[in-house]
Amino acid sequence: MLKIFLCFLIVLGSGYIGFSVSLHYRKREKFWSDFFDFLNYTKSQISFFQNRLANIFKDFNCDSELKNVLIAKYKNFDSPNSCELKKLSYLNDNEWNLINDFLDSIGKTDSSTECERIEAMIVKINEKRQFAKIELSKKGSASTKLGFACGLAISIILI
Amino acid sequence: MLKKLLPDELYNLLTSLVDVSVIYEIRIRNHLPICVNVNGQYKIVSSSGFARTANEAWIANESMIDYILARATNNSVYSVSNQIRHGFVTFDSGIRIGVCGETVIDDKGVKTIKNISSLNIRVPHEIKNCAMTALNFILSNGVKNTLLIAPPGAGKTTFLRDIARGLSLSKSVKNTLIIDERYEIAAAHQGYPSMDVGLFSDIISGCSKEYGLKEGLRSLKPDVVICDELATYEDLIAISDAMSSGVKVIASAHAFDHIDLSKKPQFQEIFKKKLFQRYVVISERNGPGTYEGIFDDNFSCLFFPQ
Repeated sequence: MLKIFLCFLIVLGSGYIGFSVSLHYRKREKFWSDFFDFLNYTKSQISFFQNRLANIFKDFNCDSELKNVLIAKYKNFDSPNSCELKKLSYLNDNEWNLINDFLDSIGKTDSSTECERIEAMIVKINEKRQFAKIELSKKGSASTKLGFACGLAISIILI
Repeated sequence: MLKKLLPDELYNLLTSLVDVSVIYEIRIRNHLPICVNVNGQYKIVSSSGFARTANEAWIANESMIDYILARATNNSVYSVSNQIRHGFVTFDSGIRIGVCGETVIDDKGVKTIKNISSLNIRVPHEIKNCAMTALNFILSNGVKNTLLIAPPGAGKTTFLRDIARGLSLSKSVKNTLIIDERYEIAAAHQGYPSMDVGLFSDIISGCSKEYGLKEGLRSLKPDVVICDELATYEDLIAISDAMSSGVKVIASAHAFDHIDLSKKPQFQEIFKKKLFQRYVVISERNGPGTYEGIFDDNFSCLFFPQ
């Protein structure tokens, strides 16, 4: 009885690990897709309406953690260094720095130069988005199943 | 609004010294003393109060200028790049920041200003009923085309704003079009005027007088047009066209008086044609908004202050 309970826990645990790995890829894909949309939105807001960054950051809607990053940046516009940004766990240091550097440097020149910079960023982020999509389809969906399968395999060996 | 614009240390010091409502200007020059215009008088600021000598002065630096500019532009230089090209940035509530530095020039003219070395923060004041005397002469037998003449800082914009408000209080409804080229008269922020410019005013902000008059007359059918700071031939041609379309114009121009203004070649033709029926001359002799006289189209004095 104890053995069966232990096996159940192993299956559950390894399934959870598999699910977490899958979630990591899903979050990455969602984040890069939202950032890609954000860049396109920002470009149109700057080139056509010349709306200010604070309004752009505030008005852009998404359901990934990008929104929290934008809110923190927006608050810092109002009172500098008032809001500390926490690094997102599913981004590596280079990616995190790329986003932060971009968000910090935006808005310092005229609209045509800003749009050129955003376009260059869109190309970079599109690559990341495509790669994150491939990663999600390859590793993301498989990792939950793989987690459960590993759990089951260990359980069978134990039994 | 100054709180949002100035570094905390400077804002706290200024508010501990004087009431914000009496601050007219703050001048920040790189590596030079910070000056404040309080009630028309310039005072040098030290780190603890007003300085008696320049040695005690609080010296402004680049980072202070950068901070103020970042706040003024809301970290969005592109949204005010056209203003910077013309040497100013407007902030909330009609605060206008004059910008001085090195101009960057390309084929089309001034592209931007870099290495900004000084800022002149001008705080607008809403003084209700300050233009009532002038309004009595402007509104005699209908609205008269009026030119408000004053040197910089004498209160032209405050007068125009009060005239706009006064027109809406007159017996007959006067649809007024305000062409607010530099966001000073109505100080519109996000499409809403920060200043009281009357109940029947439409505001076109940030465009040239030429555009505002041409498009505004077509689409808004105003009875009166108000605009600030006539200076160029183009401005005067646009004004002249508007007047010949049956619209009354109330505008302002930089000069000490009508004699001084007549020395400017572009205004000579205007004077000859008698396009304006009223000339209101103000100065800052006894503080901003001091009447120096109100004249008719023949420059006969209609009102001379005691």
